[in-house]
Amino acid sequence: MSDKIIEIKGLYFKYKDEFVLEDISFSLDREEFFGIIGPNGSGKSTLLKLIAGILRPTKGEVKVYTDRISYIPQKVTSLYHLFPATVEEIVALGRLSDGIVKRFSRRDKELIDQALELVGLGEFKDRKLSELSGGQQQRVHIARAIVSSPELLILDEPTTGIDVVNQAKFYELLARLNRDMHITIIIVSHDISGIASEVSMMAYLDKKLHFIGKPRDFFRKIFWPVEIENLLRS
Amino acid sequence: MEILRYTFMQYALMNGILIGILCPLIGVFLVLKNLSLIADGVAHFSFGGIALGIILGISPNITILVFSILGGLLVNYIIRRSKLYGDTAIAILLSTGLALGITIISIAKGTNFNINSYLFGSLLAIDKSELVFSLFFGIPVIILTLIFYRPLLYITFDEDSAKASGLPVEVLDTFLVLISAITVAITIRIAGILLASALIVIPVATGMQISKSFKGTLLSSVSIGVISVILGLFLSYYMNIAPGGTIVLVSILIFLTSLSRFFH
Ligand SMILES: Nc1ncnc2c1ncn2[C@@H]1O[C@H](COP(=O)(O)OP(=O)(O)O)[C@@H](O)[C@H]1O
Ligand SMILES: [Mg+2]
Repeated sequence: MSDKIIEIKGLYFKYKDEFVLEDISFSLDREEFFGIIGPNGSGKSTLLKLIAGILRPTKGEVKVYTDRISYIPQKVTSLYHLFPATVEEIVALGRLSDGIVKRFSRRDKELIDQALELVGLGEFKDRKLSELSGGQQQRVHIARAIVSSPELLILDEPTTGIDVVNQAKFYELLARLNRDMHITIIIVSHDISGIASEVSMMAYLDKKLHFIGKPRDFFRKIFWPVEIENLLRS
Repeated sequence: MEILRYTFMQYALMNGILIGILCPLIGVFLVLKNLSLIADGVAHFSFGGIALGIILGISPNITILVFSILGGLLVNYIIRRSKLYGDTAIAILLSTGLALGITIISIAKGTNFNINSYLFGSLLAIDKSELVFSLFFGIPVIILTLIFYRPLLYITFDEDSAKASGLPVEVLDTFLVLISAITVAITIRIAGILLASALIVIPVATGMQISKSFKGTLLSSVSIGVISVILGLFLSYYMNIAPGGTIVLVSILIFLTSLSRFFH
């Protein structure tokens, strides 16, 4: 099938002695909006890093049929609170996926400006990244992803610490990237109800893949939402 | 300027300006990667190299360079492969070099070896061949760093994101270690082992106080590095005090001044 973007077969992964992912197999079509949920420590971040090529599988295979990948790690905002860089400088890093020593052209600058407009940060170009709110910083990272014209965008709990109104706006922005720019999106989230209404596919991960399919089947067949909320809290 | 009539002063000034540019330029990446201490560790490690060079009759210039590079690669490997924190890996490296150096020197007691010039630097004793050595390694490092500054910024900012987007992260990382080691090796002749990391860290700390952009931090750190060297060198000449220490003290004074605006 030519429209698959990811194929994972018999994937196992361990950092030390114990497997944190076991026997994961699934595939993902292009242009899906894929949400992954699961309790803390269930291996969600690890799975994303394996897909992004940051980690290598201990066993099994992870095939990703594109090299245009953009990854936004978990808790980016707290990591960078002292980093001296402007919004524009960070977004510009996304252009490096087209070659690491090329000079920046007028076209690069235009792409950066357009991306910042798209995420609603046109005015913030020259601001220091760490002076922005958590939600704004997440949008800077989205802009960094957009300028690299990714086919696959991977986000690890991007809405943590963002208020509900801005979360909704953030999901709307992702839905637009998915629909209008045909970017396949994989997102890990704690917020089941928020994510379930946006995504086209979802998975419940807890070391193993306990469910993968349409959001409505997830709620209808597998669990009652209340049960899952409880599960995630525990 | 009467002091510039002396050849030794001209050499000192040229070599000083070179490290005034080089140290903060590399230092920006090290400080932001939380590896400020790596320069210190590498410098102390190369003490072993100096001692070894002396008893084997090899020029310390060469052994310092070799040990710096080895030390940098080793600490990078330890940090990546083992579960140790960076600080611990650096502390082990630092002790190894010092212990090796002290032991070797104790064996070679009779040799005529001025250990002070390596511990504290000897900017005013730089001869032409040493200046050429510094320029030969230092200028390419500056040029390469400027060419690769964006990808280096990317791996400094977020290595995982850089890797996911296809950048050769391991290669860039090793490159950063190599240019840092070369920088330390060149700097040891001037500031000594004990102060080699000062010019890598202090001007950068100052630059970070006064700039909001990365480019601004880079430019201000380098300017402060060069100003510290020139001011320190002149002060030390006219007051007849040790140049290495004076240069570092000047850079600390500039750092404190940059902090002071927060007290108003
Ligand atoms: N770098 C690491 N080294 C060792 N163990 C790790 C590392 N990162 C995560 N783990 C462990 O792997 C398991 C899965 O972690 P993670 O993928 O971060 O889970 P999640 O994102 O679902 O919270 C956890 O038990 C965690 O402690
Ligand atoms: Mg996680």
